[in-house]
Amino acid sequence: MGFEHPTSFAWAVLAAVVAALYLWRFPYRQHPVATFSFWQRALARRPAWFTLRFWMSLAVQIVLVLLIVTALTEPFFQQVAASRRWMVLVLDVSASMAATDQSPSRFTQMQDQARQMIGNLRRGEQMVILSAGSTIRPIGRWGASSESLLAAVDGLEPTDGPARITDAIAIAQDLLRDRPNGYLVVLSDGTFPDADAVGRMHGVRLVTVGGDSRNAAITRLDAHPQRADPSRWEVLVEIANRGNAPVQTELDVGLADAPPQTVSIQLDRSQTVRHRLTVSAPQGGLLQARLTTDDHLAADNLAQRRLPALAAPRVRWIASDDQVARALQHALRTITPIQLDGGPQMPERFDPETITVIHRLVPQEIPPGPLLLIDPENSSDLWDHDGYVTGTDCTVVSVDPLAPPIADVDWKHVVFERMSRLRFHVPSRTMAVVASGDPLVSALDRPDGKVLVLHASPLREHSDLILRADFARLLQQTVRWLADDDDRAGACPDVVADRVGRVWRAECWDRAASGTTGDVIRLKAGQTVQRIDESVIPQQLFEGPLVALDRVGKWRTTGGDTSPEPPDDDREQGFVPVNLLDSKASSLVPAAALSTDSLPLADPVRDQPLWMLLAGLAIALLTVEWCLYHRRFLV
Amino acid sequence: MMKLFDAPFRNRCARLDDMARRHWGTRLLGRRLDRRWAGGSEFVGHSDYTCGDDFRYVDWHLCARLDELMTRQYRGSEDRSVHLLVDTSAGMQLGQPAKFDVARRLAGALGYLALAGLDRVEAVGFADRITAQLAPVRGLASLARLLRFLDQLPPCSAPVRMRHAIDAFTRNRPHRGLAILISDLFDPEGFEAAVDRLVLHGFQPYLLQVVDDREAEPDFGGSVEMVDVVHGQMRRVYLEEIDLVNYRRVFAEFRAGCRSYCARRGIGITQTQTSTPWEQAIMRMIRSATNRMVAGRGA
Repeated sequence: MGFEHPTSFAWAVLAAVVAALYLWRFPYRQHPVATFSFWQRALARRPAWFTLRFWMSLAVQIVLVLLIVTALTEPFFQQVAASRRWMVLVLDVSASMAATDQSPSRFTQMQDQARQMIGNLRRGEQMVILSAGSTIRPIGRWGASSESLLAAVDGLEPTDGPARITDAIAIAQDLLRDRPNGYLVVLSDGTFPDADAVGRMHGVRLVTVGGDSRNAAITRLDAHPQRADPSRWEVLVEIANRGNAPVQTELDVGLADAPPQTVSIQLDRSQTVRHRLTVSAPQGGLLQARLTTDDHLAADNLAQRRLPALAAPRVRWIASDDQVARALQHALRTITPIQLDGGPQMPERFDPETITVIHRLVPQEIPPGPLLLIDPENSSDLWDHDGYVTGTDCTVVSVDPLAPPIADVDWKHVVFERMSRLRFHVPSRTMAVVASGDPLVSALDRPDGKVLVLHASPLREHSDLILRADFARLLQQTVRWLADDDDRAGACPDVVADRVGRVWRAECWDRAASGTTGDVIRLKAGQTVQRIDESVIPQQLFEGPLVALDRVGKWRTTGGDTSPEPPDDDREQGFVPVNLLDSKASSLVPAAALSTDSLPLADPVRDQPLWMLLAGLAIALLTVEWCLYHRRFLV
Repeated sequence: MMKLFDAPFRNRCARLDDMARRHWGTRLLGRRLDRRWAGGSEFVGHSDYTCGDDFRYVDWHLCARLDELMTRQYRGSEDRSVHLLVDTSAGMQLGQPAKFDVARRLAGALGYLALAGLDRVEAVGFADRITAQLAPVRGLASLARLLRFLDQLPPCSAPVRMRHAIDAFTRNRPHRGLAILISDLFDPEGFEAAVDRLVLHGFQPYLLQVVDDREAEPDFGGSVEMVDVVHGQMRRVYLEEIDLVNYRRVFAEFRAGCRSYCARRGIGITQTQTSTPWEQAIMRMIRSATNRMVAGRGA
């Protein structure tokens, strides 16, 4: 036998007080009577045991007080104490839990089950709740009261991120280490990765919610500028059926402020379709793909992406040969928009922000900034000129298809009669190789800017390149590569992660405004992140050094000393469109082999505390004492 | 100036007298007529001669006409004496108001009714003996004398011994009649012997029992030191609820025993408590006596 509050035994002194009060009698009061005879006859009728009634009543009152005092100490049996459980409740708050296939939602059903488990906690049992979305957050602590746990469960909301149940289970197992009677329960819809394995885990009870569902989801939204016309974007939208039933829907794709293109889609179960569309956005903007279907999960019906505005690169050409100069100007003008100038002489000073295209002329020291050098005829600080390669040795034999400057250039039919052989002093990347083994196109790796070297001259006396459309294509791709314009597509999405390892994909995150360091979003002092485009869910404001964007929609940074004013137009910088963070999070279909009976753990049995039994006995004794005092059963 | 009997008392008595006359005429408390057949002076009729009849009452003239023996019947005069016996023992001093005061008021009221009916009224105070007595008086002119006697009737510290007192009362008492015994009847030796004596001596007893409210329904308990005011004895007891219940039962049995005894003997009895107004007690006596008279006529 143990006691929760042994100090309450101090109240036992009340028994002595009660006994003293009971034994202390009031002074006798005199009552004159005419005769004793009636009283003698009345007193003679007392039952024989009545002489013990006085002491019986005293004993009952003392026992009554002791019972109440013992009840105050909240006694318990050691066997009960030994069987008390330490419970960790892992709640799945992923996007799929917001599905409305259950009334009103899977999340609400899970909350009900969590409340029921909290209500079934026996006295002395401890529970910790882990909220497992794309972040794992403990709510409550060991020793938290049932009321606080219930309040924590009530305060939960489903996120639009995936569920890291396995990581949460690992944390829960750490919490339960060295705890007797550890009990780990996972409340989920079973759609998270490795759900089968979790269902078979020893010591883990997986309780699932959810049922048949209907869900069409946008699982991918990619956009790339066309190489021929960078103001037009190739948009790839992937739509998948993430439910149990076939769905029919319409897909709207377009800029936020323009009429969308609509595509009708019919998806069988588990079917995935992709649609490629072209969107014109020379000024950039917010690209939206939206499914107009009434399915059970709304978060994956919208995907957004911010398209940056097309920048006009500054290009300076330097060529002493008129033929080459005309060819360069003709080819470079096909790049729109562009700021083009040039001449036959070397400038006195090179602008590092300007792309410089030089034919044959070679400065002693290669200037900083992006450079395209065509057929350099002299040595410089970056290379030594080692003669020429001529004849059939100039035949192109190998091309790096992934090299952006030459990706779409057809080298097979280009004839070179002569090309320079250069010995580089710095590391270089060879993009095209001729038959002699010498590089035809080289990219130099230097910190002052990209340098691309075309070892051959496009002049007609040495090659037919200048007559081909591939020359213009080579210049366009090279200029775009030198201007880092290819990163327009590649930079999106940015991958950001927070301190505890949660990873987010934020589309086109403005690093300068947010103060991003590496892969971690770290807000400056005074900055906040706020959802700006959600009308159903109230706007949420986040403050703190690290921010998790776990809701689909647009987010914006505001405040801070150096951040710009909040933009009024979505086309401006400063907001982050966030899509469903993991395409798997949209799946509403649980793992097929999921078993919820993997752990032979009984449901908690609600037991009545011992103090209630004592209180009941005290009430019974109070009734006995009341009857003894009033003799209701005697008269 | 009398404490117990003020002017309003007389007025109330006058109203009660009007009411009583409508019920019982001159037969106070419905007493029986004391007729002495063939012994009186008022001729009421003839009857057949029966063995033992006095030959002097044989009506020879009628015998000659009817050729059979007939005797003349006479009705004697009523002995219209009323004796008011008031218990003055120490036990009667208890109560709020004291049973003794209530008893005297009742005696005064009954004396008024009797005097108004031209009865001869005699008042006696008794305890273990006759402690005081008023010579018989008649007529309302003597009311003041009667009331003064009752008002000045001294209480007695002696215990009540009704048999001794009644023996002394009946001795050398030439006039019989209605004897109204006003007491709590708490005689340790029992009141029955005393009442039997009254009957034996030709009195027509009527019992008027006066008890205190706290004697009938004691409202005290716990640590109590009871003092017997008659004998001066004390007794400490711790009274429980059960004791009070048993006491009420014992006391109720005692009062029921009184009624049962009187019913067996054909004796009128009225039981009242000190909290009951004396007029109400008299009116109950009037109704009770009227009922007895009606029942007697029916029989």
